[in-house]
Amino acid sequence: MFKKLSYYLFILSTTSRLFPYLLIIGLTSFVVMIGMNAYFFGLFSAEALKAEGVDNVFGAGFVDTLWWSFKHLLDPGAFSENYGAPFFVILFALFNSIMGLIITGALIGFIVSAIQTAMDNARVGAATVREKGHYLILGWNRKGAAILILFAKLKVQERIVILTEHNLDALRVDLRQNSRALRGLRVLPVQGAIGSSSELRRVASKHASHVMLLAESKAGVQSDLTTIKALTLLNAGQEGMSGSAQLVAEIVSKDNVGIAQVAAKRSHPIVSTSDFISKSMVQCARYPGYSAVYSELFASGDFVIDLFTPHGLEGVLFSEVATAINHAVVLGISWHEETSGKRRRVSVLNPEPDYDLGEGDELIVLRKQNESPELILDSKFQTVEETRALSIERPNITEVLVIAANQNLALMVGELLNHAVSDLRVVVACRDPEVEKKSLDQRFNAAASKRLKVEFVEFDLVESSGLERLNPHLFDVIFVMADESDAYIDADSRTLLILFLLQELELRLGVEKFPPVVAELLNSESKDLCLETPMTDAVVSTELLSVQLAQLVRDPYLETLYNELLNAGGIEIGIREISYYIDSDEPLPLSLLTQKVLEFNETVLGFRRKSGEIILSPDKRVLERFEAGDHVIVLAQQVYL
Amino acid sequence: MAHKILIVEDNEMNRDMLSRRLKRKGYEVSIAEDGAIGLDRMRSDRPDLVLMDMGLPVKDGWTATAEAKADAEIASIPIIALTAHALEADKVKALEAGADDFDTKPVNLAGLLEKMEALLTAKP
Repeated sequence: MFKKLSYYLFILSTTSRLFPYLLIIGLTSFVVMIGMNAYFFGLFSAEALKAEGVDNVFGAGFVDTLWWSFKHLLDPGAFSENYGAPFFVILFALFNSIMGLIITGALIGFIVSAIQTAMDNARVGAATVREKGHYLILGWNRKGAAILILFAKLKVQERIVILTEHNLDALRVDLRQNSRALRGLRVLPVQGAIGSSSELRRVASKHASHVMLLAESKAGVQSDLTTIKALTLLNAGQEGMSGSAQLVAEIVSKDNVGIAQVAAKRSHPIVSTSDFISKSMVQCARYPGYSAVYSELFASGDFVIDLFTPHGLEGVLFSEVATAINHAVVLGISWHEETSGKRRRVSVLNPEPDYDLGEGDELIVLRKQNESPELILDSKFQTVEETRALSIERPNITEVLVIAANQNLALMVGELLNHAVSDLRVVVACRDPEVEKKSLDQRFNAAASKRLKVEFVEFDLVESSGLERLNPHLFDVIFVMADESDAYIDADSRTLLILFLLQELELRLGVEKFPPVVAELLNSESKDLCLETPMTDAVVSTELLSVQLAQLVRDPYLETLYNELLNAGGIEIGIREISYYIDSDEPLPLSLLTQKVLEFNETVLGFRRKSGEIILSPDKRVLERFEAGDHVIVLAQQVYL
Repeated sequence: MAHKILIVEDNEMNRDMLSRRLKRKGYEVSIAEDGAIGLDRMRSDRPDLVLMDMGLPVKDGWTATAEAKADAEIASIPIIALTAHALEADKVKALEAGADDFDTKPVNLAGLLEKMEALLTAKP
């Protein structure tokens, strides 16, 4: 019987949140009842009634007894008022007073504990979110802070709820470090598993207007499994999220993009980190200085890509409208199309100059945040009658040196091959050539391509002299990849050291032209440390990818644009010498440069001065003087010569 | 009756652009994303003309063109090869594979339409 009672008590104590309070009420009642037994031991005797603490206001009955017992339980000081009462009455009073102290102590303990728990819950974000139309970030990694900074620049007014399994203290440190840049944002961090449907309900995923899934990292390793599970939950019926909500997901490995697209029912943008990094690195190799242009365009937060629909342009050619719109660069055309009963938005970059605008066509424009596109009314529409082929030296990379290796190596080699016009030789200098070769063979069938030759050589920083034996100066491009294989050495520190070695080698060899060096960095602050090294471009995923994610969650139609700009064989951002288009050093209006570039079926995004200054979406009415060394930044169809 | 044109192109933007422009010119357009699908569509839809990109996944344009021309049932369908590789050798390679004509990307629509009409008119 006692064991059974103990078991019930155990069940009650572990399952009921009210147990402590029920226990106190029960104990109080029990003690009061015991104390009331003083009635039978002369509580209202003539002797007892002389004492100050014994009253018989209601005829020395039940109520007076209850009052006496209860009073001693709640007020230990009342014990002294029984002076002169019979011994047993004093004994009961003492018992009640002592039990009262114990019960009050327990009650205070429970209350303090409840307050502490509530405060802890608030600190770890265990509360249930009651929001509608909020931004929801599921998962947290080093891109998170950069995304929030962009939201702050875009003046997002809605509350931003962040659900992550990570310790919220670390997240709060991220927020505190960027508190200035995040001013105006309403951020609510909440701790919990993003792959749990109850947790998603807790953060009101169903009522969120924008959902962003970031790859959660566990013990420094990012996994796509949780992201894919969360994607499935979000897209599963009415419980997940509203049909009108916009979602974007970050997937680390390109191999998992297919399954993520299935989980997202192919209706939301999926961004692959590895794909983005490898493609960006190759584009930087093809056009040195590309990362600075890309950063200015997409990561500075100064520019936006949106739609502009001027009326009365039906029948007007793309070349005409491109030169006639100021305070914006017309990047392309967008329209809605019905395919198999499904309406989709189609976006095309850099259409042919003779494309005639029709009904339903909208212009995709790049503009500064604080400027609006306007038609230059005094400008006559400039028609480009005939396009010409641009006879320029196109990037042709045939000899590549890759120093250090990571999971992006296979994708990068594949991307280099996609762009290669002739045979491609890649030398991979890494710590463990056998492992990397095995990994590459598993992910990319190098032998299948007759045009590709990949060689692996051992290279470790402890034997830095080995770098010279590789003859880096003889390659078309050098890639330095982020090596995170050693937990004790920061990947950026390792990259920085390799860059210093290359710098020393460049100075010692005294070669006239050192190949472009493209480095993968994990932290944008590391970039500043590399200024004196031969590094021509740095690909910082936190910087570039976070902006892409932040823009895609707001404007999903930009997905095709982002993909197109990095994929081989489509439209790309090119950086070309000014002399290809203009042979005069006289000042000329930028509308004329726009027209000259359109003649080659390209679109001017801006220009880069010899000094490195990048000017995008310039005022077309302004006269500019160009000199040798200045470059034009264009959107162009990739042509392989 | 509108001529049926099959565009075999893996790049979504190029496909969308060309498709929209040809539709506006009155053609009936269907699309295929790679060489293998292109061949299937040629057999099932019997288009009047094919615009075939050469750098395609799964089965490249040269192989698909050669296979189409080796298949008696669809050999008569004219094929215009399209490529971003603006080399003379590419043109020769495409014509050797059996393409009836050749054009480079980005396309000059007026020039392409001329080539298309010439082939469509000459088609038996």
